[in-house]
Amino acid sequence: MTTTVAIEGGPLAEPVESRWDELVGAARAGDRAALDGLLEAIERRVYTFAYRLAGDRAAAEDVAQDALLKICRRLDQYRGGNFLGWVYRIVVNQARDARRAAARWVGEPIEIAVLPGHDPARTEQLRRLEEAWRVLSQKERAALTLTDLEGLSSAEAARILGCLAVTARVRAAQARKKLRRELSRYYPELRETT
Amino acid sequence: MKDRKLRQLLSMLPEEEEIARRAARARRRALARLEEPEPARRGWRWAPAAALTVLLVASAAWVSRAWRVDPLVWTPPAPRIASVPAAPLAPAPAPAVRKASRRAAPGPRQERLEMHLVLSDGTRVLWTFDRKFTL
Repeated sequence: MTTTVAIEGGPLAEPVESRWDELVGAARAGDRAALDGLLEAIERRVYTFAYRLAGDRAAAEDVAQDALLKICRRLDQYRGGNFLGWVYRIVVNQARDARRAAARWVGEPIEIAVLPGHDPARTEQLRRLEEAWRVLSQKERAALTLTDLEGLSSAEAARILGCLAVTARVRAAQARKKLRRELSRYYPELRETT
Repeated sequence: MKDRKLRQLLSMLPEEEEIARRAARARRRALARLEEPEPARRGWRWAPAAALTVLLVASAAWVSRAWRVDPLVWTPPAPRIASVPAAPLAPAPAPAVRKASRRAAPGPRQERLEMHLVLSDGTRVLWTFDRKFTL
């Protein structure tokens, strides 16, 4: 017997924690539709998080693919509680492994083409941001993304990163400082006044 | 102000359609790979190290056994102290009274030294040394 668990609002909607557990339970039981639904629900989040960690789009796709595969294979190891935290931890580990393996992450910056219909100014901003993002270490990227962009507390981020809360805070602060320094070339208002 | 601007910049992402396309492609590929047989378990990566460890332990055990000194088969008899003659030694003759000299008198010249030994099995040994302590 298969249980189909539909996510209301389409793939971009975020189920609440009990809904995650329900989906995971069904996927573990071998329900392929539930597994598809689960992956659809997290794929964008996984990709954007991988993008922040990797700093480039193609590498982020590889990381997201490997992380999603690992999530499928390790669903049995999920003990409940905080599904997204568990997913983030897998993405962080995957990004770290991929960075060790691939030299291209520290190679030449990838040129971003301005596609027809896209705003060239926005594309340029994104290019500057990706360039500045390369200055950060993997740990700083992860801490900054989790605390400032994903809205997690430093304690939650620390649990995902496997460090102390104060370490996560310090890494995020260092990342902010480095980014301000890098981006102030283009945006003088970011320049440190002290 | 600074932080707001920074956060605004940081929250920028590639175009929505690009994210959706790449994320969906990553999911499809992950699911396709899920169907494939899983590659060799990571544990196998440690197999050579484990084999080497076992080999080292076995070698250490062998070497320690080969170098061990076996206990003696023959136990030597316990040493026995030979009996001392009960008769007291003859007192040494009193030295002749001489006028004390200002120079220190030389000691009696000893021509030889005899050493009598009685071993535990009754063997008597006599060693004689000359003035130069030559046996």
